[in-house]
Amino acid sequence: MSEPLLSIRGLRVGFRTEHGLAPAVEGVSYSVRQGKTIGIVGESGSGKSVTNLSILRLIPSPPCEIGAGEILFEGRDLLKASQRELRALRGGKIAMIFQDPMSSLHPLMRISAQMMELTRLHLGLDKPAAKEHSIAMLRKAGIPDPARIADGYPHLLSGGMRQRVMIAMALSTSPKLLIADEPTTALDVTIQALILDLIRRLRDETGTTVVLTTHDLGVVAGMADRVVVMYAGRVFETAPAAELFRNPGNPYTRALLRSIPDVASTGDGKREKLFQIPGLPPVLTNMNANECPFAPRCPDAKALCREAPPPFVQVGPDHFSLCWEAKA
Amino acid sequence: MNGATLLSIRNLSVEFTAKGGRVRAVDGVSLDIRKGETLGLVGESGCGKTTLGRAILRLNTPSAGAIQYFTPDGPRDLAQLHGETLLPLRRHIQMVFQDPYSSLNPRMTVGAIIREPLLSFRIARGHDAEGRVSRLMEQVGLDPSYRRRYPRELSGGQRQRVGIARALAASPELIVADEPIAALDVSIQAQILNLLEGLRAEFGLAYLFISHDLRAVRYLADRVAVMYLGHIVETAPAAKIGSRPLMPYTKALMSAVRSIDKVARPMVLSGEIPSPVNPPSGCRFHTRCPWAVAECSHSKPELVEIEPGHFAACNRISPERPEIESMA
Amino acid sequence: MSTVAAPALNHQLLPSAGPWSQAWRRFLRKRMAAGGGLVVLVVILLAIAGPGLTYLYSGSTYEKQDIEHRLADPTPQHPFGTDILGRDLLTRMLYGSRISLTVGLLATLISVAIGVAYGAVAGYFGGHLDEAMMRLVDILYSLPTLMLIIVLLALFDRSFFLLLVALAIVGWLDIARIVRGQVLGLKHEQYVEAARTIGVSNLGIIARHIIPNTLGPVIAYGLLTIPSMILSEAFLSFLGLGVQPPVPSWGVLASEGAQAMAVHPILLIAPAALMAVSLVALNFFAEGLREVLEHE
Repeated sequence: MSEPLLSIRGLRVGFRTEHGLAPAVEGVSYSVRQGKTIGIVGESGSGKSVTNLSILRLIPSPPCEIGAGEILFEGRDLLKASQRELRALRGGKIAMIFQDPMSSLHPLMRISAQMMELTRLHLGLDKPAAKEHSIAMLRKAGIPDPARIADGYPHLLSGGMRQRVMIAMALSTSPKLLIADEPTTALDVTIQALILDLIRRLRDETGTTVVLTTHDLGVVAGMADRVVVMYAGRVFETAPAAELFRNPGNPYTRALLRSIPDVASTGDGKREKLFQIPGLPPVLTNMNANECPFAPRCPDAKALCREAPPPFVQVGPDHFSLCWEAKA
Repeated sequence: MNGATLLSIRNLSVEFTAKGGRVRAVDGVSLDIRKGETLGLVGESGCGKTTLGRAILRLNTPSAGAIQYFTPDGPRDLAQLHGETLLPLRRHIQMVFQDPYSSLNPRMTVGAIIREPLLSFRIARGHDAEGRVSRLMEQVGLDPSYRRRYPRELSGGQRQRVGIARALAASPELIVADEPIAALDVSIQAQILNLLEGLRAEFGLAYLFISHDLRAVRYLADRVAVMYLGHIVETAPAAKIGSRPLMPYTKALMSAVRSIDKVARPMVLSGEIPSPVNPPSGCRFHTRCPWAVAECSHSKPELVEIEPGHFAACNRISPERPEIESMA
Repeated sequence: MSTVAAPALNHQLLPSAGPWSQAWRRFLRKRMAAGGGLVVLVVILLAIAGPGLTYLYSGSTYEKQDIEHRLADPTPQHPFGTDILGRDLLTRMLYGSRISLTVGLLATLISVAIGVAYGAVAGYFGGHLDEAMMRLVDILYSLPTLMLIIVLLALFDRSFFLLLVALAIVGWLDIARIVRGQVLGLKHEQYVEAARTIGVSNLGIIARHIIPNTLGPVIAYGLLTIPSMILSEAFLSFLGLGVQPPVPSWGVLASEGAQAMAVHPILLIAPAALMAVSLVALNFFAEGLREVLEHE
């Protein structure tokens, strides 16, 4: 087996607030091999975005502080890399796309100019070649009349078009790793389907490795080879995607899957009460380190869960869960 | 209780002046809502579903058509009423807003927010009002001790409960819920859906549940109406819309919601949602429809009862031929 | 790919006090502003209690003349000496502070009251009403206000009330514009729409939902208005159009001091220094508060 392209080990990130240091990410580890797609699933406050931003050290610091851990990309620890080395990676070998494409597109620059800046810097193309390359990338991203769009400004485009431009731009340098942070959350359902289809197609074409972060289990189901479920800054479960959905091994994952109404069921007659996870997501500054963070909301919590942090245990082939239940 | 018509919308149009011209966001819509019924209204951004909901609350002024609200003293056309004459009817139709952050006044305490409709509709005051506020808070699952808190001290789910309590305070017959769970975390969405369903059963409420989330709509609604660019394109019992969508746009929507247990490739529509400023002629969906024929670009289909209780607007289907036969 | 939104942590879930006490805590972290606030507090306390204390100490009042000791140098009896009419300078300065601060505060309050009501109505109702109301503001802006005030004060009997009116005529324009701008944004907030659906009247919406949410910027701007009002009062009084002798204000004292500058400079230096220190402190305080309130 080959070395993983990206490997995060024991990452800890704290967030300084008025009320002390909030542990936003507490010992997150995962790795992903070349050409594979890993889906990171979690709610707001689960630490999934902070983990993503830590990869390229884009987290605002202060208030964030990376406490410990390693982020190995092609065997090199990015946490030890210089700002100069990181700049060379950003937009080059590692590209990112965000939920809101407008926040990453320069509103006053023509789209072609923004794309050319990237490819000239990272691929060393000359001006005409860079222009041609951007138009080709826009065409690949399914943008009609790419030459005209390239000469326009981002605000002229619809949300779905902007996200296409973002993807075209992100993939224009043929990155090894694409970090997609909630890429479809702001989009309409039929447009979501188009964008996910586009990411899938370009991934298969270029062999790019994808880290896909989302709160939507459905998005992950159709895209990822492997899934990481995060809660309260920790990895609660990780498994191959099919295995995770067929045989969820952690009470949080199970509860989450059960609480989503099924669109396909016929549901005639009396409506059954939807399964719901009680309580609220944890407040990061106010967590008890000596219990499972999900224990207060867990339908299967036992006394033990309130007394000690749960262990991370193998529950199946290549399938791990952070829970006392797995130990028993 | 069920059966009697509560609200009857006939040929309703709402127009706006937007960049680039007049937009008819709602264009000749007819819908009925019965007492105690939940009608789901589904569609993508820009389809006019929110504008339609706001028209019922008279937060905008319809340019044509009628909104008949049936009171014990006979029907009243909300579209023709203003100011003082509208005020006594407002009690009966309340709204739950999408954004739990901006729908609560940040300078008012939770108690004051829930108390306000009691005072303005002269339902209760003083001690009586305080007692009612406590009861309302309990009914929506909030601890009455939260009454002195400010909205910013609450989580998204708790804020949405405050918004629901405010709507409930006036003892309405119909609640228009505009994307009430869209801004909430996945693990909180089920809590709010259960709450809405519980309140409906307890108070015999009718809902117009506006959402782009087909899973939630399928769970909560008795009947579903699908909107596309200002038109209603299909209405059907909720069970039917999931299991047997007829109109091609509905088919695409349903397949775009990737069901978790069934990882299927969604039916991908070509192209973006056209601009409502300049909608396509004929069937507004023909620019993206995989089954469109020449006729669709000039002939506007009417809503036809294809099967009992199941209406669809499509040139290619009829009661005799409910399924589109593929192109020759 | 340069801008990155800060990761959203749900720190809004933290237990906290109301919005005002949070703003107060943030304010205390600004040293310059807090220092300015302290100085302002001392000046206010002196303005309130000072004249009474000097009366107890030496029997001085702001108008009592000690003909024997005109233009006296500082003595234990008169710590800052006396003026050309033999009045105790310290007492006059303290009493003048009272007058100047009162004028500044009242003129600002009148300006804020008019400006908030005017701006809120224009912004909320919008359309032709807004158009007409804001054109009136534009017209008032373009008038030579100083000349207007001077004419006003020259035509009518100079009274304290008239002085306040004259100052407020200028002051409310800015507030009205600020409030209108705020209201244009606020009136589309969902909680304002929600208020309409629960039957709240237009007046109720403006009073309970709109104005309270403009108060941050209004208070901030209002506080910055106080020193400029004090300065205007001083200017008018210096010209003899404002506060009328023998009642002292900082402007009156400066005017009197300027006449005796050649022979007895302390008469100008002491009140001018007091005024300068107070105004600088007031500006620091207001500026700090503005930053805090605008952060909300």
